[in-house]
Amino acid sequence: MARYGMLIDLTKCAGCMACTVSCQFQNELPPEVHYIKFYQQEYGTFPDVSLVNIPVQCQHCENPPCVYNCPTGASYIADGGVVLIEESKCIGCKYCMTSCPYNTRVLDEETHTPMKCVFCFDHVKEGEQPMCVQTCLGDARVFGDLEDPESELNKQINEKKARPLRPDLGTKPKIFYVW
Amino acid sequence: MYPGQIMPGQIWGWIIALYLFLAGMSAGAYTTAYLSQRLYPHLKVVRWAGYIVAPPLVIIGLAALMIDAEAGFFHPWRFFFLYIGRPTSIMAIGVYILTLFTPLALYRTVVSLAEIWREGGEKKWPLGLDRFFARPPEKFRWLVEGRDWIDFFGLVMAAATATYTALLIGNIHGVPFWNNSVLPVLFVVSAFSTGIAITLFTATAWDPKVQEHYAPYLTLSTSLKGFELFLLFVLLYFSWYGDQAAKASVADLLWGRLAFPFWVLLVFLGLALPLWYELRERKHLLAGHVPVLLEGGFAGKGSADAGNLSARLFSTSQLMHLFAIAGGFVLRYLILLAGHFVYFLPTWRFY
Repeated sequence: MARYGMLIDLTKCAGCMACTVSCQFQNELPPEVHYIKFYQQEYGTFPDVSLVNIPVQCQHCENPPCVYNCPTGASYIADGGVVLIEESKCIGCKYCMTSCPYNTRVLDEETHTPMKCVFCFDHVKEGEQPMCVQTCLGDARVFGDLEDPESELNKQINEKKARPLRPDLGTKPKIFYVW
Repeated sequence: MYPGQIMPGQIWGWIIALYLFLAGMSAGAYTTAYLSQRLYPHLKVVRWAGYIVAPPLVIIGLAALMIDAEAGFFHPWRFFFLYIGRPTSIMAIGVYILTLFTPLALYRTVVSLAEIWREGGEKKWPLGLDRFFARPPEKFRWLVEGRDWIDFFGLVMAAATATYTALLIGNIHGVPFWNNSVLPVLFVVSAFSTGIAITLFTATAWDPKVQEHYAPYLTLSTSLKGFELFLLFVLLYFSWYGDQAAKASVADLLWGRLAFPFWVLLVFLGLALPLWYELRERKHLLAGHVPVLLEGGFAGKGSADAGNLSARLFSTSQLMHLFAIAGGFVLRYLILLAGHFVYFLPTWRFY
């Protein structure tokens, strides 16, 4: 069984937001709704300081608080470790939205249910790459199977010493960042 | 927070704060009534007031929750998944607790109504209630006579309800200001304190003379309010020395965007002023009652003195109860609004 993950190399990310826009096209989202949100953060201690663009989407955690806190079972972990939402079970309590430390879920104004990145799961099942990975101009994104030790994803995670965001929260995210 | 990032308090706004507050206050009112029933059985009005206000409060709170959960509101059958979807979710556990607490509170209301009917001379009541109270069917005698073990089970569920309202947001690891051990204690203490306030407010409106016997309730209420102020201080203290996001929450409350409602509405009007007034009222009541208690009862000269006192304090003491109740709502709303999601990268180390 595959366990899908992603690497985002922030040292290659120019913050062009092509991934955000292509994701909007792919998922037919209105302009104001983003599955991939861009944040900027300063880090370090003077004089070794830097400013980094952080594209953040659903981290498809292995211990997803959104899934464990969802009272109706609408949020669930599907094949490949992808976190999905079954709209027909969702009551719109928004507990998943507050539970997600990465703040990646957005509310659909029409259905009143949360939406988020699904790793373009339908395309991935067909052997394609997610749209954000296909579109990335700087080649900052790598998608693959974390279970496959020979995958390009695992090689780059090891070479670049990529780490997830806030691993201390215990959510075990499957998106790894290089910064 | 990051520019453009949505805040946890924007996801869950005042409706959820109202729900947490009403459910907690309902549990507090039931607890006050239960303690009154056990410790001061002669103070029937206080007991009835607590038992009668508890169910509508929690029902209004649940209605608010359902209205806020719009997908469920427009597709009500989805609420059924709350029972079978994921039983380990704290919200699902809360649904189980509320499913038990609400009918238990309603049952005690019926028992209280039967008591009131008997106390009032068994007159004719609308909806045939008098006939039901006079000759309940064998299967429903418990509903009129009451059962001690059901009352106690209601108390356990009331405690569970108050605790659940705190754990619901305390369980959110991504918001460090909420995810700590102090918050549940603060919410439970606040639930009990507002429960006492709504019970005393209702009892005073029902029969102003009952205020003469408020001293033990005020002792409890003032202790809880003092403890609440202490817990608030501890919450802010540890949050300031905790995660960066929790520090931002403290800054928001103490001198930032929420400073005015925090200091004026919560600390001064919601806690300190009612605390000061209740301490004063308690002192007067104790001064009036102590000699009478030594004589072995509430009747007599002391009672008359306290009666004069109650006439003098009537409106102000009720206003203070209302302030304390409003303070309970403001506390929850401010804590929701002050929540910040964690920062994605640690800022205190350079990689």
